[in-house]
Amino acid sequence: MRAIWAIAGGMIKELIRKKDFYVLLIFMLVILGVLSAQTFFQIEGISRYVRDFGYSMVMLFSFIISITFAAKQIPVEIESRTIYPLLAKPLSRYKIILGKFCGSMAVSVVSFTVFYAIFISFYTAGGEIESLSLLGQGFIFGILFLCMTSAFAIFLSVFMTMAANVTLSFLFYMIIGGFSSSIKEIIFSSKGVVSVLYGILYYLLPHFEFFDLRVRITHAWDPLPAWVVVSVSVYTFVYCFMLLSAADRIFRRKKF
Amino acid sequence: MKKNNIALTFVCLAAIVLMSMKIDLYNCVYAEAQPVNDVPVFLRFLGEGRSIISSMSILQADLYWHGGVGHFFEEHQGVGVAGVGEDCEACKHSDKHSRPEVSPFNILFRISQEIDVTEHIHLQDSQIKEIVPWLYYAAEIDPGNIQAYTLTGFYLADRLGKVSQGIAFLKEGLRKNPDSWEINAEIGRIYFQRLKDHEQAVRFLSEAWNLMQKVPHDKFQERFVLSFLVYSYEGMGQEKKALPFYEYLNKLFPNDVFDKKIKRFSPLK
Repeated sequence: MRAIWAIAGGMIKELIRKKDFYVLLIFMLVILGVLSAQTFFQIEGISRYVRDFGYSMVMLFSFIISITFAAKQIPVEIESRTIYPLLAKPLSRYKIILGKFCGSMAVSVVSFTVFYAIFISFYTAGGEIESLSLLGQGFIFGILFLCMTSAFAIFLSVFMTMAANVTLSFLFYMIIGGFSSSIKEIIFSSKGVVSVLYGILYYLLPHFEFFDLRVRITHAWDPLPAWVVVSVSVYTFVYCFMLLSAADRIFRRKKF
Repeated sequence: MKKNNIALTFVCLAAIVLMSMKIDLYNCVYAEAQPVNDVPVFLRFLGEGRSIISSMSILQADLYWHGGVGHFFEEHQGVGVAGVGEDCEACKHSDKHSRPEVSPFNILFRISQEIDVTEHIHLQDSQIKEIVPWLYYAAEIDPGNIQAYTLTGFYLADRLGKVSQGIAFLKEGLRKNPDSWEINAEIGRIYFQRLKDHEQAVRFLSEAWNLMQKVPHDKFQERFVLSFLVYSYEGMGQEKKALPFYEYLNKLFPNDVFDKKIKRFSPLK
């Protein structure tokens, strides 16, 4: 356990040292500041579009941090040959995978929490909070989302270069976010074997869209029922476990 | 051979010079037709992409109007449109989209269905202001987007009670699009309906009617302009001027109301 946290600790130090996080933070503050300061025809209390932009930025920036940190861990270790002293510690390969995952998670959660806190402060400045429980669900879903993206990027990183990994992760994020409803419609409209194949594909793909509460938070819809929160949490843990197990299997077979 | 090459080079150069003159002429005509002085420098780089972004901004306003939920056109069939001060019960049709039946064991589909918001609602009262930023940005990004001006004018004047701001914004739109009958008609309508200023209404609606003749339009658009114009003439006590328009309207949409008006005002001829 100590070894895993040592790896994770190293990644948090990297987050503090690198400029990525600060650039995104300043960018977010500037954009939200400008949007909040805008007035339209002397109408008071327009806040939804600030919430919309704010929540989207929180999710996108956390995703960027999560993917870029998780994607480079193993390829960089292999490229710079620092993987050898790590393996010689001796650290088992699953510990390295788990350590990298925990590190990416820690980095993502820290940055997400800071981004979310800024979002909440702009939210409250724009008017009263309509649903605390929905904001709580937004936070939980954000962390689950980063858990999923970190596991996904770690899985890809054991057999892909960093550039390919980041590109593929972004593609998945955009395609699944944008076309999941179309995939569902195709499944419902198709019949027989095609429908079954699409159904299998639907279950295999990572459902990043489950974690997106932008419409609910922006437009103050009702919070989700508890069973959905629990189900999404279970789904995330199972999916992450499967991704990390697969990553471990592939990594074990790798010869250095 | 050498002479041939020189001749070929000369012909190519001449063609380039002639083509460049043509291209320059085209650019000058295009630039005159599309003044960009009012567009911020950074937006000019977007070129024609501005109109796409502007249209997307209007679609975003529509999405906000429906509480962030996309809808199908058919869902609006048979739904009344409530005006200011009217009870908006007709708009409260919170039917759910038809959801396909999903087996209780198909857990991912069930989660997805539960997370997606599908209720069909319209913003009410004070919430309507939330669409204003998108309409404003649509007009700012592409000053040639007339729909952005007319929609903003409508919501400001009719739904948010900001009549003077609505008119000012429409006049700004008119300054940027002097040939727009739609903006003239919208200003005229607001003067007639909201301010009861019949003189101003006639001024803008007459201009709208004149501009309309220069562009393709349909009879419903004609009815929109002329019905406000005739009522404005009546409001000013100039029924004689309203009469030819009543006759024209009766030709387009024959009905008893126009018939009665024509009979009443005919002796004034």
